[in-house]
Amino acid sequence: MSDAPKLIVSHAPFLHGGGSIVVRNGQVLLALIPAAICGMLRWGVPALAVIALSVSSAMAWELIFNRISRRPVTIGDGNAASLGLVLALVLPATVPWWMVVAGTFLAVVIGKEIYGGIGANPFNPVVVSVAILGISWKGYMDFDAMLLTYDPGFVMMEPLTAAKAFGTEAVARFSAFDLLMGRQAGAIGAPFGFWLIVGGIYLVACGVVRWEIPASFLAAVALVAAAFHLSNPQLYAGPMFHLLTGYTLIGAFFLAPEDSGSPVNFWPMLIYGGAGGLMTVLIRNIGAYPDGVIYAVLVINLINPLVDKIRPKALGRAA
Amino acid sequence: MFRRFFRRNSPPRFSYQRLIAEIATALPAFPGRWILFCDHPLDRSDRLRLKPGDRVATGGKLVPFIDSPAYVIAPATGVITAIEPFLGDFGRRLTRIDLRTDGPETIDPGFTEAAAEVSIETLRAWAGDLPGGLDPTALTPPDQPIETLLVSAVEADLLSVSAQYVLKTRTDAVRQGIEILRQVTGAKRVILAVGRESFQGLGGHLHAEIRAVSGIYPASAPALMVKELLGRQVPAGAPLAKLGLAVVSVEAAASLGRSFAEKRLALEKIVTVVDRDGRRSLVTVRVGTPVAEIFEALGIRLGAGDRLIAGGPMAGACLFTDDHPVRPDTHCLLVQDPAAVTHCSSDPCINCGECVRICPTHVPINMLVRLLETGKYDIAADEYDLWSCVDCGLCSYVCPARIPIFQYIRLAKHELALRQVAETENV
Repeated sequence: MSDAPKLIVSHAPFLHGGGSIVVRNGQVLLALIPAAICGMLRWGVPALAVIALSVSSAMAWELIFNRISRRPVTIGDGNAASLGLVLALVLPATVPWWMVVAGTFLAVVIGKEIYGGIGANPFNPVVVSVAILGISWKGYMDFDAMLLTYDPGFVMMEPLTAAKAFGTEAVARFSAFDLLMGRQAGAIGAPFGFWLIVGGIYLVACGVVRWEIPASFLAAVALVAAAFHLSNPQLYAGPMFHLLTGYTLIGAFFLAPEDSGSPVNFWPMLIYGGAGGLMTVLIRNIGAYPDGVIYAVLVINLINPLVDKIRPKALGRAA
Repeated sequence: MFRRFFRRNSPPRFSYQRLIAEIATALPAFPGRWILFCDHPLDRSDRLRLKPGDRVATGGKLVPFIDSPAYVIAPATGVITAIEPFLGDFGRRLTRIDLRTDGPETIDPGFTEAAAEVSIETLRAWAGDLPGGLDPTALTPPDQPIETLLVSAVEADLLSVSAQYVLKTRTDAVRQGIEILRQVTGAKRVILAVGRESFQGLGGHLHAEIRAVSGIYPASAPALMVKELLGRQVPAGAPLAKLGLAVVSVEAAASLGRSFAEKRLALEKIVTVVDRDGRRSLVTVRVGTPVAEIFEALGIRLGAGDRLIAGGPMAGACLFTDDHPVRPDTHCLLVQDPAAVTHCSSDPCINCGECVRICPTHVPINMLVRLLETGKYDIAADEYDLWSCVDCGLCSYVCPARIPIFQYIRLAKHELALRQVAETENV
């Protein structure tokens, strides 16, 4: 008996699909890289600085909190890095360094770690962070004020703010193609709609993002914006404008579908995404803020546990 | 490494392996050792009828305990060398009996006499250890007769082709077995469930409705098969008998048919053996043959760190040694290289929902796993459909956090079953 080889004993199943949290977060990072590169090319070194600081400080906060809370070190799973990158892409390029560090603290520690780490956060950490930053340092989050020094050769007026203040006529100069290619004032990565769509489709193809959420989010934005536009074309911009400006695309593909705060069943995902799109346009058109994505995502994160109770009946379940 | 980034994480569909023209090698009845497991714990206080040194004849019924009717069937003629307690999966206590072949083979006359009468009593007394795994008690539930009998020729797990082989090569025995099952259960309807791919070429002489079921794992799970073929749902956690149903494996039916036709107990079992490199062999061995002997005959050597799996890659069980027998329901033996072993992680659920979308029975696993991790089994069962699970293991397969979800589920079911026993005993 003693010369028999020692076998590994474990439990079923003995196969695994190979998916892992590290790969998923790696895929998120990869999907954001085109938009990040566009952002660096457009806004220059300040954008690079924000991205680098955001990713590194997010990881540092996670490490520090892991140590403080005496839990296993989890920066290896890539989640902090991907949160840092998403956060960077929704900040203006000229945001001061301390605000980036504060933002990653809010995202990683307040948004995620204090709930117990990855998978336990009720809200999207980046959205929590941006919401708090937006309330706390409103001026620094104002794209028109922050990007005064830039003259990239197109209209440097934040489209959503312009639409809110001056109505449809003010934004008639923006062509849909320009908006799609990111020729608009905005955050570091969020304006580059084309590359966000490419990244988003890649994530959907990889199975990291469930297609139902971005699809219903964008459909709802388009439908609700169209309804507003038809009711008063002078006051409310059309659906294409709302789809291609602000945080709509980064919200649909990278903020709303964040695993922990989003539902997993089919109908709940449609309701969740649809509610997000509806709230986005409602806030933009009749709310107080130019962009509604952040608060819309917070609201749908809030309804997630409730809507995800709508699920198919399990096999053999009575009633 | 980079390829991983461009691949879909979850493989949505697993097909069962198909039998190609293969012939099972009949391994010789080894002159050596046999290992039998009797489904009864061995305690110090047990009074034993058998002792080491007793002689047994092929097909003889060994009843080790004076106070229990539990029995095993001797696969060979020889001498008992040891009777020991054995601890199985989930603390299941069994009695292990070792035999050594000795002298020329003699056939025990016990079954030959009993086989004159085809009845459920004969099955209860003799067929509990038949190759293919037959549970005679499930055929005649006390409160309700069996109306529909499903004979399953769908593989129990991936990689195995044993059931298809039995259906292809032992068609007559299957037919006879179906007749016997019909007779003892009084079932009005007998359905032979066959994988859609191997459906063609089956004649109508089997005296059963032949119906195709999906070739996608886990179509062979009884509750899913009942749903697919009959459109009925087995209440979660309830036995199939509650609906007047029973499922019998095609190999058990064939063994039954053969036993009664030849008036001697069938002992041979078809086993699919898959080695480290994925090479498949089919062997015919007697139940009780040690795995080590099969591997030696096939030239498979186990190395340090390998995994030896009985049953199948999705829902099988690891063996910690090859000094373990082929049991009546060991359809497949699998050796896995250390490099192919995926380890679990301690990561928490990230709520990605892969498990929920792959679950064939719509169990809300993302919620369930949170309860199971914290041992809240009652809530898991009452509110989150624990008992709807058909033990297929797909949730663990797709989990990116590599949570041993399937093991949590098994553990929960085991713990709840223990509680139930305690409740009924203490009333």
